[in-house]
Amino acid sequence: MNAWTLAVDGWIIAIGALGALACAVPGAFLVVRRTSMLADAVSHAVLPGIAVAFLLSGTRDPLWMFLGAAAAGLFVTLGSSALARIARIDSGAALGIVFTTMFALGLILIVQVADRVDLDPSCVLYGAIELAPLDSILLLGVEVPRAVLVLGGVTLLNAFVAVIFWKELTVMAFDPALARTLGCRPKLMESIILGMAAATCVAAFESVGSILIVAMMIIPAASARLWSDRLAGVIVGAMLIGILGALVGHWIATAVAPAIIPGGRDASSAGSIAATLGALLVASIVVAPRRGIVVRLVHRWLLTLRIAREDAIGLLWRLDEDQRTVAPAQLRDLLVRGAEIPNWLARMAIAHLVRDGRLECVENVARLTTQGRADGASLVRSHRLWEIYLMQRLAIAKDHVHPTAMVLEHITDAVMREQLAREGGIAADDHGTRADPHGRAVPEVPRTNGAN
Amino acid sequence: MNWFDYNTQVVAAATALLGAAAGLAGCLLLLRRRALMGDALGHATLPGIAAAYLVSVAVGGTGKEPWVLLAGAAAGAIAGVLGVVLVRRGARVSDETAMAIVLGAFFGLGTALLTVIQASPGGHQAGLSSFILGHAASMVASDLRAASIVALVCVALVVLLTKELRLLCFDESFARVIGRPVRWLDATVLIIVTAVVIAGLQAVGLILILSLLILPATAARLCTDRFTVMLPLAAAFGAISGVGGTLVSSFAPRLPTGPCIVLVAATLFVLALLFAPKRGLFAQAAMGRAGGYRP
Repeated sequence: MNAWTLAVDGWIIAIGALGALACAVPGAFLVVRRTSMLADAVSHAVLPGIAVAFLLSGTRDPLWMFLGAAAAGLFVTLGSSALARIARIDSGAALGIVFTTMFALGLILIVQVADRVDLDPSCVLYGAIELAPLDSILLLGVEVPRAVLVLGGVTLLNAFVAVIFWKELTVMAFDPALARTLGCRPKLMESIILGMAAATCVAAFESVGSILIVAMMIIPAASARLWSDRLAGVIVGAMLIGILGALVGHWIATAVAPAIIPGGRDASSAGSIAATLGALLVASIVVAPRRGIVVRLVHRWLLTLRIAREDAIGLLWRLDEDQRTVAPAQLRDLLVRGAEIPNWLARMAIAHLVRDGRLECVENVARLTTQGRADGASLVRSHRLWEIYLMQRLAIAKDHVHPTAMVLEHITDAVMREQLAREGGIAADDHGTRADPHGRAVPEVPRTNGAN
Repeated sequence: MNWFDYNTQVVAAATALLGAAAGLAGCLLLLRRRALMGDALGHATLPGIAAAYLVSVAVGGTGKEPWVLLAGAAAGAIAGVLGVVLVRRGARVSDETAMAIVLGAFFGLGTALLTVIQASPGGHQAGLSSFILGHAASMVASDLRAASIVALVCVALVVLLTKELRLLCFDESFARVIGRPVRWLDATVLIIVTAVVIAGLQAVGLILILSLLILPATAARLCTDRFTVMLPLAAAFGAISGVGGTLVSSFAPRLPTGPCIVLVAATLFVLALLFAPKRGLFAQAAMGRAGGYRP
């Protein structure tokens, strides 16, 4: 492996990055509209298109190839939706039928013309991103690869269409029924999205290959979806992820693969970029904010800890109500047996409460502090108000309300608690005279700063 | 090559069995609304094949043992299925998007490995890229044996589990409620499909296997509304496509077998679309005059 040269590797990365930019707009809409396999179908269907174009024109002129591919892309898009409608079959099945049949036809046609021209089916599949810089055009005194111009043009076109129809496309993507009532012409917008996707596939298959098109259109958009809830955010995110994929993928193909695999040759850049995009999606699934696995695990763990702490406080408050005291070790045992909390978690919850000044251990007796008693009172108040509510409003039997209240007490805030009190017919100045179904007083929350 | 030729007979028998098995598996995919799963699975076999070659060469083998490559293909397909499930859950995208993601990323990895292999000494003769487009004409008796074993296992599984699979296809939640092991049945469907994809790699290649899965099944679906009729019908369509495609390609010297099989299957589908009772276009037009057909 030689050092990267700007004239070759720079252009390859630029082509990959431009491909990502071109694909981001239609890709985001395809992912949101859940019609992702269309990209796969169109990119396979271009094969018969270019074969027929060659048979008709007798040349490999890029314009003819493009026209053939565009016609094939249009045919597979319209043909499969027409087939799904008239044969009343699943749209996925219709898509699969149309594009594989066209691909088979394309293979046969290409074999027929094989000795007259070198049309390689595998070139359509993998593309020739490594060779794309060689096919260049002189523009303003600089040799610019044709692929850069084509992909740049498609990017601008997609951006233009997206800006013009932004409102309509957004409404259509998320709520076709609303789009219809607002007069946004959902059918037309759907056709615009599909047309954009098909045109991008057709324009890009030659330089980056049909499989990379599928990867570039769908994977960055699905990854960006994890990072953003806004359509514009998804599009910009897909662009950034796609560019990163092009950079890292080409680096892996030319620098990493030859070093680790015996033989010492470069791997396919298109393939490596597609695989890298897949790895970036996996990374997004793990680390994305809010939707990522790590964040979800941390949230779940914090919730588990909070519930354990609240169970400990509630338990101590109830013991205190009965004028009983326990040693810290006993408290832990009661939590493990009563609230089915694992031993280490009970130990950790108690340590946290001591650190936060909710709990103090004096002469081997675990006792709530003022703040701890306030927390305990609000928790037990929630619990007993829920018991009253469940019995009064939902007519649940007296001996069945406790377990449900045990769960609901942890998700009840001050506002909901006072609403429960009103619904249960308990006045604000009741001062703890009302009893719950088991005859225990509903405690007041002492006035301190900060409650449950 | 002519069709009295022993080699043509071997290929025709193998593709007929493969077509029958693919027809059965396709019915299950189609009714589960996962028709394109066959495509994701097919593409996902490529990195498996390439990795199996690399491992085989690394441990001193030739990398050409068919069972090694097919085991790699199976591993790739299973990884692909798991990938679809995990991406769907992890990234919260639709089934179809998850399939497109797995297809793109796995096939990309496969081509990257393939280019490295083809540049390595001896790699170009390994013939790995023939798995992409298939090479039915060079199938031999041992391939026939492998294809027939796979086909028979698929047929046996579908016949034994007909009742359960029908429940799974038409009312999954009811199947769950009455205590059928829905997850295992779902896994069985995917295992059957994986087996068919791997058996079909040599004959039609990993791209066109999708059409062998869905064309006969969709044609059969157009002809009947009964599951127990649809299954044998799809198997028959698949077998006819296999034999027909092989014979057609044996008459002309430059017709590749795999695409011919697909085009015969597509012809059967078009015939079914036109002439099927009730759902066919002619029948619908006739009934349209008599008040219309409501499926």
